[in-house]
Amino acid sequence: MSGRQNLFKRLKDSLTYKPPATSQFILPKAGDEMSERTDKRIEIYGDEQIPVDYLEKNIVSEKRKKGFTIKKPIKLGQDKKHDDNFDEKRRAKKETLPDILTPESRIVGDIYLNLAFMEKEMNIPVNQDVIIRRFKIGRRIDAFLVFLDGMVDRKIVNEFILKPLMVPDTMMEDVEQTSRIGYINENIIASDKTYLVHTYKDVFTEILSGYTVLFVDGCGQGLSIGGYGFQTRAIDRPQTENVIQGSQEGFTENVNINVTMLRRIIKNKDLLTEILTVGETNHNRVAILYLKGIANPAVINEVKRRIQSIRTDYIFGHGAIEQFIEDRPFMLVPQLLSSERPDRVASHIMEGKVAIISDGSPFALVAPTTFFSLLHSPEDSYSRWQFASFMRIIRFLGFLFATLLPGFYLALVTFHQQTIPTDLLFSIARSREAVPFPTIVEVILMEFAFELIREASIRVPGAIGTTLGIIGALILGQAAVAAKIVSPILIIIVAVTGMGSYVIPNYELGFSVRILRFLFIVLAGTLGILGITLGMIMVSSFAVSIKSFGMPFFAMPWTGTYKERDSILRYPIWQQEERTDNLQTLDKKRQPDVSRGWVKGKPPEGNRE
Amino acid sequence: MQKEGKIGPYEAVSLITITICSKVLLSSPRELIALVGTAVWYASLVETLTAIIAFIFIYFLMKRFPGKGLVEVSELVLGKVLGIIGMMVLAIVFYIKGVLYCRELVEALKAFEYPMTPPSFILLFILFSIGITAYLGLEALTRMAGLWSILLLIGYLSIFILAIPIYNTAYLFPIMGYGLKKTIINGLIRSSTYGEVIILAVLAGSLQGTKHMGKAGFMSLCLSGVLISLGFFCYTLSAGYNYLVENAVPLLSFTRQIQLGRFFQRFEAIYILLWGLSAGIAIGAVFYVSISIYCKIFRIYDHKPLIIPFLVLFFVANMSITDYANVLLLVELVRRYGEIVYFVLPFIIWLVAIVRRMEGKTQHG
Repeated sequence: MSGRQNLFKRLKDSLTYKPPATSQFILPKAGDEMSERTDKRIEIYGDEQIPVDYLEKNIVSEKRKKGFTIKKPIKLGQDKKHDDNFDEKRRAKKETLPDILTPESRIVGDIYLNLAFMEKEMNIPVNQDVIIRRFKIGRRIDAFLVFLDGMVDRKIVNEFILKPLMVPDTMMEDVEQTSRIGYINENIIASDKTYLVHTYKDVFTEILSGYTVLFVDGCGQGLSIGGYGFQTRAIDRPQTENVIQGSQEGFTENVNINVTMLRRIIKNKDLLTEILTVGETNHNRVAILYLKGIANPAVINEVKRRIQSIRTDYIFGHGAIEQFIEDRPFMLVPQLLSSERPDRVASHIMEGKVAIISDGSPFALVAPTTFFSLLHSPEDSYSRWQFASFMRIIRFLGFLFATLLPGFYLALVTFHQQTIPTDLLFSIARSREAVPFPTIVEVILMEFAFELIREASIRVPGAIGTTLGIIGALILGQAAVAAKIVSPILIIIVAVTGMGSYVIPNYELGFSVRILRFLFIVLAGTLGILGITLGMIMVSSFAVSIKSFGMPFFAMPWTGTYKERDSILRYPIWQQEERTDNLQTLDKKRQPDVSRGWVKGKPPEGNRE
Repeated sequence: MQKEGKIGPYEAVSLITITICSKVLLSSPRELIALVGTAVWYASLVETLTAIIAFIFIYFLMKRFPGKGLVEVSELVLGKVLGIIGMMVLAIVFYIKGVLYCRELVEALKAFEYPMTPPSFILLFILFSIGITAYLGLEALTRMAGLWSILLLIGYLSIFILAIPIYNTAYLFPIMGYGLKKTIINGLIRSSTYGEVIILAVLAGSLQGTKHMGKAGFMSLCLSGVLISLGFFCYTLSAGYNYLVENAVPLLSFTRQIQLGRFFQRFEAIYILLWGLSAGIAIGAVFYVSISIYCKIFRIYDHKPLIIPFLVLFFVANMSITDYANVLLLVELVRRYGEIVYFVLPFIIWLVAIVRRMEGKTQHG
């Protein structure tokens, strides 16, 4: 297209309105056609979702049309020739490596070609932690192992892979060349975790995940053998979700350990774990866990679709995944719940939600979520319903204080002095008498100082951080009042606001509140209570428009459109008969209407009144 | 057609009730008191009854065309030209209503709370907030109304409960006001106070069935009637007639009289909060509905590009009104003749539909 045409097209585009191309995910009701597609794997190609079976069928037929053939295995008997020029052959193959071999190609039967290709792709000899151990099975069949130094358990490699394979009597004489790897898998390797891999891409993924891959001459497959040996952090107490009652275990940075922790809580065969690989360069493993038969398949598919569609080179943990898959990335509030507590995540899985765990982060994400879930504490489930409900009200008030209190103070002092009771007004006036700044400057100054102290106490290690926080707040506050820079009443306001923000159990929601607070301060300083009110309208409009994986983020249980007995208040556990309607779970019933069977029964004879 | 999403009956009732009741927080009570005297509280009930009867016809009309909005029905029944003209008039009335409501609020705020702030500055803030709600669409608007409805109800009722010490039943007399005839006539004429209920007919396509629409309409009318009448009743109890008629924003003055001991006095803060929230929702609703009708008439699929031009016009229209006296005059004009558009127009459409034996199903074949 010429430059002039381009210019016209751009002009036309800038003047013509185009409706947004993206469409929002809608959560279908359980039983709908969309929600039935449970087992179809989906790949994202551009804007299209294509089932994998369709892709495989079509791509294979395309390749056939182009004359692509997989190299046939050599005939039985040829392998009997003892070959001493292994390195020479490998070098020769390396020099003439056909272009057709790519990481996506299927593994070929030629061991020299495989070795040469692995060396090339794994950047050997520059890359020195990749170990390729060449050996002969039963002193005659060429084979090699590939693994990463430090990632695998050397004992497993030496004792349970190499040793049984290298003994002279492997009894493989009668085994067909192409079936050798299957024979080895079934009869020789003493490992509980083995997979046959068919493409080089899968081989690389397995090696990089800490597995050992075995190649055997004549076999167009590799055998991935489990047994990683790298060090992981031991299970520890959760750092951000401490409770007095309840479990004291937190997730670690390893997906396998985290999945096991969930499995220890939900002992159900229908708890499914699907592992996806995300990050085109770092190949992070992401596990998706859900309960088959309870979770809505449409939500599961949507979670998978979003994760599979991520095209980036580096995924460092749950935070990155959350940012890639959340519905409205420009909103301040988190749209997925993150938790480092297996018991909390397990309870959400039992509710019919989907958990996402990734390597490298001791947090799991839960989708979908609501605003009120973010105000729940893990302790709520362990406490009796009265205490839990009371604490939720306190937390909600804390949330309101943290967001609005400085703004309201500013609005009342600056614009609506007449609404302050006379005695209080005198007290405020007296305390502000010597302060040289306008109230808005005073409020922003103190809030900023508070944020500084908070940030500094997090960055400074251990006990010093706590001390710094206390001393900073005390001394700074006292000194600021003594120097007549701020009024004492403002110190109280900031302290209450700070405490309010600390009662918010979700760390990310706490962050949102910190930013919103400044917005409301500015609005209050501009138009008093009207400014705050208009701000509330704007913020709430955004909040109610958010959907988390098709579920309204600000689902209001009082509207009567759905049943929810564990949202704002927590009903007694025996009255929570049903799962929340909003999730459209396949099985809505959590327990029968009479879950306390003993109420209906009679005590034994002699123990009755 | 324009995709507006789905709304539930609770959200619909909240939106309509807030939009109707928000008028009580402005000059509306004073106007009615001036017309009917101390009979104001049941004059409001007459208005409600009139509106309910008028809504029955709207319901009948919408029942003939299930799943369709008023704009589509109007085009089907009256034909393209007349239907479009009728609905354009409705859109313009809603737009003007929004403009007048906004200006009345700005003037009242300036007079009572922000004497040093230019009206245009307050107006800009309000426009920014309603622009955002309109941008986010009907679902966000109605859900927001549903979210704040509880707080607004608690705030509204708390004002009347806290004012109990100042009530005097003697102020209710003469209970007939200026006479029953005047009360009933004014109740009939001014039923346009409840005219916003027609919003439900405009948005009927989003309401998941005519039954839901009818339920939401009758519930919101009854609730609004009770709340407004309760407000007038309490206000009448608070002072003598000659004093009541003097207040430009009666309920604000009423709130200022609250005094419970030395600490709890002058609950203006609650009032301004209620004012702001209800006004934001009400103006947002009428503004959105006027854009929605416009989009439906001209088959515009996305309302978002229209928001800024409509807001600019809104600002210009607001600033064109010279003073508060003119605002009140125009508000009274719309109040008096509004029902022609809100209730008479749908009634005519219904009659034509009956005469022409038109029904939604037959149109689909």
